[in-house]
Amino acid sequence: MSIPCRTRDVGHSQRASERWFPVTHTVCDCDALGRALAVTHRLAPPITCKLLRRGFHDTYLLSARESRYVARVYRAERSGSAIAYELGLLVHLAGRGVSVSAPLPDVDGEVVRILDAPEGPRRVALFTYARGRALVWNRDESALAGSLLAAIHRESNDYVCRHARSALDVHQLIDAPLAALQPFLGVHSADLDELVRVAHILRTALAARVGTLEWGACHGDFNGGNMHIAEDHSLTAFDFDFCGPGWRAYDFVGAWRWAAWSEPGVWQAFLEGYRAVKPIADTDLTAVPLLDGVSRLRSLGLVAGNAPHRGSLPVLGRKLQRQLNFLRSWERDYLAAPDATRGSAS
Amino acid sequence: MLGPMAEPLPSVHPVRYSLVSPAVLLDAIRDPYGLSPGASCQLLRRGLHDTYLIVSGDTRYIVRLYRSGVRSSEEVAYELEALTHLVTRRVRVSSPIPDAEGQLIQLLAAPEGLRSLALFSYAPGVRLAWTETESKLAGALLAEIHLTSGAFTPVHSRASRDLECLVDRPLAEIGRFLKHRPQDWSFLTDVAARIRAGVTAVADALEWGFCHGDYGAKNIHLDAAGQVTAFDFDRCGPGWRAGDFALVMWAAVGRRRPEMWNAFVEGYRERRPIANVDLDAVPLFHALALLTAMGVLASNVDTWGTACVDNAALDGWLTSLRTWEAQHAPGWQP
Repeated sequence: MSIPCRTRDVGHSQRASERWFPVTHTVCDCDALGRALAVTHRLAPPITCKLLRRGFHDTYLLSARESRYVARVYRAERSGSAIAYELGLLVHLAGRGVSVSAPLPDVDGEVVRILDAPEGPRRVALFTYARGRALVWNRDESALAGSLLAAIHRESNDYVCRHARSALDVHQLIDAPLAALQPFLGVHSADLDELVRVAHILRTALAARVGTLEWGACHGDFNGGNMHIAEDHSLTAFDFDFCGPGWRAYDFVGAWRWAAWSEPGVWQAFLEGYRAVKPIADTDLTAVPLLDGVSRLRSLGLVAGNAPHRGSLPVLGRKLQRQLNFLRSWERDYLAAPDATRGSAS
Repeated sequence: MLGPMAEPLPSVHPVRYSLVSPAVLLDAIRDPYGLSPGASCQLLRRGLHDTYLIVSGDTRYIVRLYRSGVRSSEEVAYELEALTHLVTRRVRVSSPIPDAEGQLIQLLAAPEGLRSLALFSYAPGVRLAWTETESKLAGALLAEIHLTSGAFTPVHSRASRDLECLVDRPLAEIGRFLKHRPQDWSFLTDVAARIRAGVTAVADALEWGFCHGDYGAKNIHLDAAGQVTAFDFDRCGPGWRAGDFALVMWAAVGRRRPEMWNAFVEGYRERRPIANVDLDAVPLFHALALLTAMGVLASNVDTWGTACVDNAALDGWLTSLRTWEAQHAPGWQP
């Protein structure tokens, strides 16, 4: 028996010159990307370019003769203005001497280029490489991380950008994740009821506090994986993909969460590091446990929203139950002691 | 400087991989497969290939969109031919469904090259939990696959799952990312040489024939009526039958549940014999499964990223191999 096989002309790209099947995302060839960026950024050969990871966007490690860089190829759906806000913030921070992985202007002075990909135009930026290894949340490194976050917050206070970027507000942190999760929870309605109930607790508690919380540009995902520490103990923050105007307390969640299940001294050291650079009110710190719960809901929503790209199994499988358990344990702890930010008053 | 419409980069083609949206995919295959107008489609998972779930009326289907350059259409045809052979002999496997013109494979012109597409029946149920009853059923199903494929005389061909495929190629791929760690690289080449010698020593005595190639819990579903169905024959081909026992042994060893392994073998032997020399060789294939999995990651860095084989990831795999060595030291019994 022979297996019949045929090419089916099932459709093609809307662009008349190209006759391929319409696609929503592509992974571009590393070598070709390296060659293109070597020209636009006048990098010294030999150039090597490797795909580092495929996260929400695609990240490449680019090595030229004397330096390493990171190239991010944004997904087509990320808007130009959202990217302009992010890159503008990084240029602003780097200009103030804050240690962040910053975008490099090309020969024309542009920090963002358009890549003509099969799925549509995608934006590309080339960043300085953050030297070192991932942060370890011990006391020394937590203090450094606290100081770096404070510098990011302090120096971004006068950042003005004409490009809009959605705020890390109730809509983006609570309503949007809930909406993204709904299609996956239809079959487990008890889970959905529970999620709606927890979201209500989060929303009500936030509403009662928002007037008192410090607001400004935030990193949005300030965790140990997004900081590199070099041998000389210099710390660099990167991946500002989730940045935006928000409650500053939200950026404390990473350290808070780590301290909660390792040692309280980590939290203390982080705060001391922060306050050595910039003050933060106790009212902000008492909101951190609440924002921890918000952040868990948001993570769940991001996975659900990414299902068309990553697949629904990662959402529907055991991961969802594990994340729901996180949220349950958060609720238990939070309701028992809503303002319990260890050592915040000292 | 930060205008949203900056200058374009020179066109960066070729692309290595492209993702097709579920909605576009559904539109393309609705008519050829006679799916209902209300059918739905979602991307289930991105593995080596992309897997979609179609729900049309009361029926569920799986679409696999093969990656370009990973399997040739000849290799895909062999897989579908094997499944057709098995399902017509009533072996419970997820099997390919022809379109209105009798075609089993559609070719899609993706930006990176041609991609094969096939529609499969859905394997009802949920992932196995490896109770003794389930282990026995899974063993019996593997025996059916082996037994029935004895009469399989394919028109299409596929490379054998031989030592080149199971040892040499994965090792070469991993070497590109491990050679900067000479001690670990020497450990890996040493283990590989010993496994190679171990298989070679008994190769003539080992049973050879059609194999599933990835027979583990993630590729077997158990339905409410207590029946098991096997799917994902993407790694199938001629090989040593002992290899199809490896993932089950791996799971049994990991869970410290020898009874699970015993039930699996018992279920198998109720349908078909398997010699002790084959079962004695299973631990070797357990290590080869680890090596193959590492090799797959290493050979896909252009599509998945080098983070899959960074130092931390390699540490994890090497630890598994060292654990395997300790578990399979002389005198160890599963």
